[in-house]
Parts: sequence; structure tokens; C-alpha cells
Amino acid sequence: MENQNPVALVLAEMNRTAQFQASTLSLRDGLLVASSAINGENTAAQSAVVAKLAEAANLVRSQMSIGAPEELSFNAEDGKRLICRPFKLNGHELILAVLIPRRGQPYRRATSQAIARLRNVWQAQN
Amino acid sequence: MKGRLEDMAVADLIQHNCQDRKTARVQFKNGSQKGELFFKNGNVVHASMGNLSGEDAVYELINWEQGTFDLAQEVEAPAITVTRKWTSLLLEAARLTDETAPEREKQKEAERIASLTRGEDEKFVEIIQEFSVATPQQLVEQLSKKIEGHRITCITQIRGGNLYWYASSAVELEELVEQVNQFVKMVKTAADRLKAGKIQDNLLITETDYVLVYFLGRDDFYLLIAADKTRANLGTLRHLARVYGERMLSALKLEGVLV
Repeated sequence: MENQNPVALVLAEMNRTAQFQASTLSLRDGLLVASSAINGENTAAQSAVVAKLAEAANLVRSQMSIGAPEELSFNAEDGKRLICRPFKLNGHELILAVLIPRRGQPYRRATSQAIARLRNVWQAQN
Repeated sequence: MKGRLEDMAVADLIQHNCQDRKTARVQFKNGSQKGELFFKNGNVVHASMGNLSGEDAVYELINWEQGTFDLAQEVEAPAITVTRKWTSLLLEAARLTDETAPEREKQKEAERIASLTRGEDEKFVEIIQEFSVATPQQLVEQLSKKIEGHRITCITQIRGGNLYWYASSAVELEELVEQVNQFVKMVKTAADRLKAGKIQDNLLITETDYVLVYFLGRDDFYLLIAADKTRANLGTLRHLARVYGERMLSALKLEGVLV
């Protein structure tokens, strides 16, 4: 049964409308805030690796003296993609990560709208 | 000033008002739908459309092809919901439109991008076939010169060692490659844990740059390209990585680096 946490509901709605396989919202240190998945995807594993990825990406951008990461992704040969979008909310550094099953599937608008909704939910709760 | 969106697109209205550094409000109407954009000191500062506000509202409004607009000068925004520079807003809108465009349109765009480099690629094939002198280093340099806003191109190996590289700006290459190697290892671990299969490429988008890692056939060799985000085109970058990646693979085999 789907988690009734309002943050998880935002993720579930995004997954449903954009047809994502799984999504997680985690703190920068990897602590899982909420998740939603179809077909029992391992969202705890996703959250853990996303935090490590963000940390490694941050080291790269620091070495290159370029701006803060806005998006991090990988494409697998079978078409599967992981997209991570870091953002800040009331001083917290969060990462929204989505697992996309098919190549060429749009994600930018859906994740932007989810981030906007997460901001609203977060502010309503705090 | 009033007008129709069939005569003046939302993107054009944004461009004109921002370039003229206007403080203004533009109200849009399309049937029962309504939206508003506010400008101040050469940027969009607030937007709303239905339940949306901020950048999301801007991106929705930009897609309107029909309807009317009503421009009122010197009207201040009731809130600040947009902070991104107007040029960046339009670029992002173009990217979103590209994402949601029908497959036929995407195919046309892919063909258009391919046609930009096709002539040059054919020349490369001829050179390789006729003289067999296109070394990996030459390919790295030629690829670098095709990229707008280029910063660095490098063929490297996860186990260590930057094999071939070309940088358009000062960079501590060894340290950078070491960090990128850590990053790539993490990506591979992530892919394994998520059962995502073999990785084709991975991309880091920062506020200022694109950093693309494209795997060269074997897992431990990859092509790293970094370019200024405001000048480079991501679609072209990926296309060039794919085209040159194949040639680099052949050149690496010719040099005996890859068996």
C-alpha cells in the first residue's frame, strides 16, 4: 500500500503521470525522506547511491571551479536512466531522484513541478 | 498595448520587454485560461497561470500559440517568483519544448543536428581510410574545436592515467581526472545497485557547465567533455560524443591501446 505521507504522495503522483519507475527524496547525506516505487524497486538503495553520486559530482565541480550541480544523470544501454536534481528548501539540501524506464522519456517538466509541489507541502508542514 | 499571440509570441514579448528593461505586466487570455508575466529591470520577476507560478508558469505560457495579451507599463509585480535570467528562461523553455515535442519533430531536429556535422564526419572517414593517420590525439583536438564553449576533452581510463587531452582553459588535469574517475566509479556502482545494466554515458549539469562522460566500448575507457552551458548545445554535445566516440575507439585500437 502506498505511503500516505504527503511528500510521498507528491512522488507517487509524479511517478503515475510521468510513468517513472521509482522516485526518492533524500537529504544530501543520503537520509531517505520519502519514496515511491512501482513494482517494488529498491528505493533505499537508490537513495543511498544518489547521495554518494552527489558527493562525487560536487568534488568534480569543485576541481573544475564551475557552478553548483543542477542535475546529474546516467543513461544505461537498455534505456534506463537515473536523474538526480538537487535543490534547497528552507536551508535543507535535498535531492529528488527518479528512475526512468525508457530512453527519450521526458522528465524535466514533471520533476520541476514535483519540486514546486514539494516546496508547498514542506512549507505547509513546517 | 494589446495584441494577439498569433502575431507576437510569448517568447518575443519576453525578449522585447527584457531587452528594453521594462517594468511592466502582461496579461494573457486564451479561452477560459489566464496568465500573467511581470517584468522588472530587464528580467521576468513573476509569472502565474492557473495553479502554477514562477518558472513553471513561464514555461506553460511560452507554449501558448493562440490567445490575446494586454501589456501595461509601470505595473509592479505582487511577488518575486522567478529569479532565473530571461535568456536562461528561454533556453530552458526551448529544452522543455524539445522534450515534449512529438517524435517526428525530435527526429527532424536530430537530423538537422546530424547534418551540421555530416560533411565534416565524412571528411574524417576519408582521411582515416586514405591515410590512416587520425590518431586519438588528433580526434580529441578536432572534436574540441567543434564544441562551442569548449573547456576540456579527455580520453582516460578509470584505472588512472589521462591518455589524450585538449583543454581550452587552465585546468589541473591530473586532479580533475582523479575526481572524475571517482565520480564514474560511483555511477557504475549506482548502476549495479539499481540493476540498470551497462552505462552508456553520464552527465553532470551545473549552473555553468555541462560535463559529459561517454564510455568508449570497454567500461574502463571513457571520453570526458566539459563545455560552457551558456554556449554549448547539449544535443550537439551528445551527438558529437557518439560520432567521435566510435572513431576514437577505432583509433585507440589502431594505436594498440585497446585490443
